Amino acid sequence: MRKGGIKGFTIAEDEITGKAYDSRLMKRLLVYLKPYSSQIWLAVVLLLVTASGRLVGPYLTKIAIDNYILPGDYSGLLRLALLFVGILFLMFFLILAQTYLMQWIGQHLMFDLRRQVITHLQKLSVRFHDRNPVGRLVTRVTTDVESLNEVLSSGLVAIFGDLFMLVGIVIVMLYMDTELALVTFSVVPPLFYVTFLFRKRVRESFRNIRKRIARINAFLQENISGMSIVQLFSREERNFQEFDKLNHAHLDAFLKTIFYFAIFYPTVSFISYLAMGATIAYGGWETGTAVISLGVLIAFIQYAQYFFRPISDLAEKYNILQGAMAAAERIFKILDEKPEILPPARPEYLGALQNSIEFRGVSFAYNEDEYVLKDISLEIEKGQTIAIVGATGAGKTSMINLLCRFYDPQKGQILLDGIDIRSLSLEDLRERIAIVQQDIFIFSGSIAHNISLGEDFSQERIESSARHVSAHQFIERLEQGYETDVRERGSLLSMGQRQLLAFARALAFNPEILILDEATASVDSLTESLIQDALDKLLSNRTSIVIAHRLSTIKHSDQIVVLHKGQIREKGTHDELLKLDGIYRKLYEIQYEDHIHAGRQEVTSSSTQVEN
Amino acid sequence: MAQGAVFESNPKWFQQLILFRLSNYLKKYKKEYIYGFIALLLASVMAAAVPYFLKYPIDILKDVGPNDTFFLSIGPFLLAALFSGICLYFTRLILIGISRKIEYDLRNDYFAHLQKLSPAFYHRRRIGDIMARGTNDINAVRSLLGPGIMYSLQTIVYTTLAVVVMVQIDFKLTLLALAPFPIIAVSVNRLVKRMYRISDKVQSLFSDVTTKVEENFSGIRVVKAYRLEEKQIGYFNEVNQSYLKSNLKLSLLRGVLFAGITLLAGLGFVVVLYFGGRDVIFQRITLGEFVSFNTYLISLMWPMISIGWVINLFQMGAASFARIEKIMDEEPEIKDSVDTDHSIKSISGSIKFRNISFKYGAAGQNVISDVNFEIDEGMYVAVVGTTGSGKSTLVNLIGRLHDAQEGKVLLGDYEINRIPLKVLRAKVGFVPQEDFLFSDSIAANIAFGDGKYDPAELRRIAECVQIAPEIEAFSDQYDTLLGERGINLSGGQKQRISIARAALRRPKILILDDSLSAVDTVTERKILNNLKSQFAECTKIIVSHRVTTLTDADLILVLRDGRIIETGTHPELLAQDGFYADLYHKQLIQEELESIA
Ligand SMILES: Nc1ncnc2c1ncn2[C@@H]1O[C@H](COP(=O)(O)OP(=O)(O)OP(=O)(O)O)[C@@H](O)[C@H]1O
Ligand SMILES: Nc1ncnc2c1ncn2[C@@H]1O[C@H](COP(=O)(O)OP(=O)(O)OP(=O)(O)O)[C@@H](O)[C@H]1O
Ligand SMILES: [Mg+2]
Ligand SMILES: [Mg+2]
Repeated sequence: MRKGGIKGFTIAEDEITGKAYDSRLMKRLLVYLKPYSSQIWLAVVLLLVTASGRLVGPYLTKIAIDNYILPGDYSGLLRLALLFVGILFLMFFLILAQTYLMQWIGQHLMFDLRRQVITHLQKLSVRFHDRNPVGRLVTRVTTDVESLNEVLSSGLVAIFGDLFMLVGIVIVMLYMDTELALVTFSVVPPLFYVTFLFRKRVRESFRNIRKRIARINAFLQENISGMSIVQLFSREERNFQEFDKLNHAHLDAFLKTIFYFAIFYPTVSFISYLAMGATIAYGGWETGTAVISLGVLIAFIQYAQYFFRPISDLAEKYNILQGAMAAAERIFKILDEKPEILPPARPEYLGALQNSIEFRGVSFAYNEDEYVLKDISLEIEKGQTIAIVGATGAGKTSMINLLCRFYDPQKGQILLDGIDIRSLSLEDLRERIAIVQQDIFIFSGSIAHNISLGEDFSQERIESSARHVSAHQFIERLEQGYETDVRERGSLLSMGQRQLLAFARALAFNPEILILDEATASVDSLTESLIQDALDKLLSNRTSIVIAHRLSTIKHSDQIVVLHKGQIREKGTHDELLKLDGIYRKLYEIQYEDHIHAGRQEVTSSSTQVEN
Repeated sequence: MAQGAVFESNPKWFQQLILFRLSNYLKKYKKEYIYGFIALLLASVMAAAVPYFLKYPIDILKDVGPNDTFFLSIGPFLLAALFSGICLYFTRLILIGISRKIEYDLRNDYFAHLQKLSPAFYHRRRIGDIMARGTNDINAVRSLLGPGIMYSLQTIVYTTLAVVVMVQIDFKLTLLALAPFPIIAVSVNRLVKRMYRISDKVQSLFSDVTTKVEENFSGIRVVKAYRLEEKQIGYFNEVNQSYLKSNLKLSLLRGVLFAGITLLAGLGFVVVLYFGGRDVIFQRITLGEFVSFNTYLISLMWPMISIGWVINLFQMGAASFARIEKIMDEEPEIKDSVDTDHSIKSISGSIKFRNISFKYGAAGQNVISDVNFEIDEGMYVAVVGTTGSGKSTLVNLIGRLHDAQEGKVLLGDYEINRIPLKVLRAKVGFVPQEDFLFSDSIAANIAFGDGKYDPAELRRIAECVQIAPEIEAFSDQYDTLLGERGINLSGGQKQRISIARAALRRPKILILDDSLSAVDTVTERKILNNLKSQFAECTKIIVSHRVTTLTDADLILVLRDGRIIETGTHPELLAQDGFYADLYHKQLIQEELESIA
């Protein structure tokens, strides 16, 4: 992923080099296998035994032919057959044990990896998550981990087993007849050459395929999420064309690969038959000169059959391995990602907030050199309610993001009772704060769960916070009340209802510092004023920061800060700011222009109205 | 939902229907399939012949020793091998190729169908589930159609041929060698069924894992703000743990299957070694026959081992196809129908609601009850009301995101469902309450739709909605890339880009569903004024909670619990001193009123 020295916002790239074998990656993978080293040794031993077991068949055939069938030793043949049966049953249990053990290790490896990746992703800062689409992170935890397991099960272990078997066959064949063995092996160099060519081509096209399927899935995911926009804007046709293009590119890449495979397999099989033919010819000639027995020749033919399957399989396994290595690389890249927001090694201890929250000369940019906050200094006394107003994009939400330490400022400090929040532990800091974010997020699941977020809050606590924000009524009206499943992102509820739910959540956590970022922007003014009344009591000795465009929302604030283009331009109470005749006054006049112009006769009647 | 359950829990006729539909996809490639089968048949015949040709050299060797005939007798063997290789090439190329093409067709069809389904469908289904069907399931169907069909045909043809040849060599021996086969078939079948149930469970657990992870990262800011990290990891570990357990169960069965088949195949081998050897001893067959018999048996071992795998492919594929078809069977609720009048090329901006009632789903209460109103072309209309009173639902009916169960919506003289959807949507500029931007450039987002735009017009619209200066301050300006859902924009910026997107199409009806809630009042005022002057002929419907900025509306609709309780202009409604007046006054600053008064 690119980071740092770039201008503007970028989505992190997903490209990786994709070697099939990378010793550095391999070493890291082995670390994960360490806890299971005894199981692995056992599996390796079992693997060796079962692989040798598979070689027994042709050898027994040779013995049967040379020692019993040709001489006509019937009872010897029976003994041999019984021995064979015994070996087969033994093999059954060994193979079972070996495959299960391998799977067991693989599954545990995946379990550990999934846990580690998700734990790590959890720690990474908001900036990382800004740049990495959710779908991609999901892929890391699920698909990539699974394909990493293939390094182990289909990849390494199988390759190891195959190699071992190959070596075994080679040794047995050499032992039985060196010359004939060399004749059989004469086709190995061309075989390797073919495999090499094939591997090179296929590697490239597999990379293409992976890239293209990832694009298809990302496209699908985004357009399903935004389907109503797609339909409202009659985008279907164009989207379909785009999708078709992606889909077709994927198809093309695959057809190419199929072509390579279609050539490769028959070639390998033909080469292996060539070897067999050569073996027969040479071996036949040798039997004529009585160098070898017929049994040996027949065993050779069988071994030759065993010999070439693993070689052609190797090519395919190589691809799996390559895919898995790519997955490993992506996973490790994420694990190497350092959380940008680090808690201090030895956090300072801060008891209950005594004095104030202070922004001291804070400047902040999301992207290099594009400062969205410039030299912000602000002191919020304990128990105060402070309002931040200002044009859209002025940087209000950004200030909150800094206070929660979603990001760290480039310059300046934020202090709680004089202690820099960077020297507090993240838990300590965030425990004090409850926030209603501008982009609210509702989890699927029950309403009660969305308020308690899994804390063991009593039903009364949940209900009373819902009551404070006037959400209780609409919740009660739902068929299953607090147990209603609100679906993904709370899609069962109206926007305002979702906002109330997020608000109730913040109150239920009973925080020292309450932050409301446009918390009632989508709520009607009647409900809002009910909430205000409830809050007045609730917030009496709490510090709160309120961001709102609707000035009626902030009328009770002790202090109002006007933020303009990342700078604090005005500060004071409502009355003071009105007298200042600046930005605030303009905001105010626009909001109430008709009222101010509407003539006074109506004002008197309405003011009595308000007091009720 | 679990994979197999869908398929197996359905009646036979449904399974047949599904297979019938699958065959529809195959039909398109009838010719290719025929060629593929021919190639496969030839390849298998040749492959089966190869060991047969081994018989000659060996017998010559045993009887006469290596002479010229011996070397010549190797020729047919090699020729057969070569020819079989060529046929194999075509088999793979054609059969696997078709499966990829069908995968392509299926995926296109799936996406095209998804684009037709209405919001109600997307409310019912989890996105992860729809995705899973579009990825994993299509893949499983592909495996059925490609390797599944190819390998099973290969196995069938090859086994048949091999058995024929083996019978010729020695009938009794063949019977003995094949004795384990029925046992294999029965036990594999039973085992696969059990594996199937468990892999079902594994599939649905996988979907749980995915959903958990997805939700966790979509809501990462809430997770962090409320220190839910540990808890989320805990939830995740629960599914992770059960996923592990089910997977281990599956692994055990797989191990049994694999080892069991190896055992049975090995037993066949021993039987042949023993009885065949005996036959050679008693000279009932030649050694050459014995060897080629053995060779056949070894070459049958692999198909035998793959039987289980192929069966698995078929079951998974059929189940997956059933899952895809479940979605393909969903009827789009909103679509052009027989009532649609395709001669309608444009719409009028006048809107009439006649006795409209609406509810989400069949059960439940009405969300909109008996609503009536009329809006003339070019009017500037405000919709206000309490939270959850049905404002969004109401305007959604104009964009036909839902259809009302009762009553009529008329645009001009036409009932809304007579207007072709495309015409309607081209002329209704809709800004939904929940903004959704795509991870593309700002320009592409504003020009969303057919994607064509004139840069000057784009700028004009951006200025109209007061976003131009901010965009132009970004280093990449209109080419600035947005993150997922526009994550790198402020709330108000997202809303204004959404408005620009709707305005750029110069609609007849412009609907802003609470789309200025994150915009400051100065900017809001400017935007509304611009819209009024630059979109004078266009009907503008503004849903808002900021009652104070909508006082100049031509008409205000006041909603409460799904009913329109008041209508009129601002002065009229104030004079009524009802619910609207209440909403309005609550937004004034009490103390100020007095100081001004
Ligand atoms: N995650 C982010 N990455 C990059 N830039 C961002 C990000 N979030 C906000 N910005 C930019 O920072 C600036 C300030 O945004 P911020 O969200 O703080 O504004 P705001 O005052 O809250 O506005 P609004 O009232 O519209 O919510 C904007 O120009 C925005 O584009
Ligand atoms: N997809 C849905 N399925 C079931 N009920 C829904 C769905 N969407 C909304 N509702 C319910 O319908 C009612 C009206 O919702 P709607 O979104 O129209 O309200 P609204 O007036 O726009 O509110 P807000 O001011 O909060 O945006 C609410 O009670 C809500 O819970
Ligand atoms: Mg904001
Ligand atoms: Mg709404």
